[in-house]
Amino acid sequence: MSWASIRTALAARIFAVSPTSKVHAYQRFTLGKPGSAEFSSVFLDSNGRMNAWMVTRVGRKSETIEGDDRSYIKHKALILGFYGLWDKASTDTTFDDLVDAVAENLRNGDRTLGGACQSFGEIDASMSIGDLQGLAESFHFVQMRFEVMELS
Amino acid sequence: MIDNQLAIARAFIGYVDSQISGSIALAQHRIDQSMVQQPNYPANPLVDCPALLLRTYKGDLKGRPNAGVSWAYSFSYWYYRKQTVGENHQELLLADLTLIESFFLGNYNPEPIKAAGCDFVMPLQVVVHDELNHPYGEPRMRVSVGEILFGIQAIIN
Repeated sequence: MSWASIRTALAARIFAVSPTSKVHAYQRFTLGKPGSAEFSSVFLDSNGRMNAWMVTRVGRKSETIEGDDRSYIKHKALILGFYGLWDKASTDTTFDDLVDAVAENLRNGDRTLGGACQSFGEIDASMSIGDLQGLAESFHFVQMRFEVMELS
Repeated sequence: MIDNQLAIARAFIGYVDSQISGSIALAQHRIDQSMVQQPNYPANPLVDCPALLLRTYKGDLKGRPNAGVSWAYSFSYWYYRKQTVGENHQELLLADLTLIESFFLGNYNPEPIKAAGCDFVMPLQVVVHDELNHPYGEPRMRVSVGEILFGIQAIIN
């Protein structure tokens, strides 16, 4: 087990829920403006819409186990979701449904992520609206936080 | 004068192993490597259960030299069984505990344990403990816990 295996497995699960999305097994950054190839490679799906997911972590700690020589490694996982805002297409509801679908798939599916971890905790999702700096475009944004436990 | 506590504990494991084979596929069956306070949530129930762990607690020396001396030991078998969602966990746990207990009912000094210095062994108490939850509360990672307390006497002279 390792964080690399865990994030790869999480990305695969998200992709299974939303095959049209651009899914990254790590956090991506770009200086490219909308319309640039750089921006597109990070954020745009196959339909040319902003529709991207990223898997990263914001913490890691180890814990000894009473009565056992092994240790738990606990990762604070963070899944980021981006979806282009277009009111006429009711993207708010589309994105809501997508967030639910990802969260429920993780919750109800294989919680060992194919053996990459022992289990993970409940998901805390917070949604907001983001703005692309200097541009009139906005996007739906979600942060999904949960803890993933592996045995070392 | 010999304190046979360890030898009897090892013989316990061997005897129960020979009886339980084919009934319960134990992931672990041994003298507990630690003396942590029980019950104790297994590190990884997916791999570590079902587990049957023997804890020895005490040996009391009774009697007087040249007038009949015996050791009285207290052992506990701690049994950990991972739950499967939808099953009746208490029924399944009790069925397994009853099976293990049955190896000692009507046979109060099985040969391997007798050879280790035991005079008789009796199950004194079967306890269904509160289930243990995974730190994340996941139902399929809950663990049922049972205990069988044994009284053992070993005559010295």
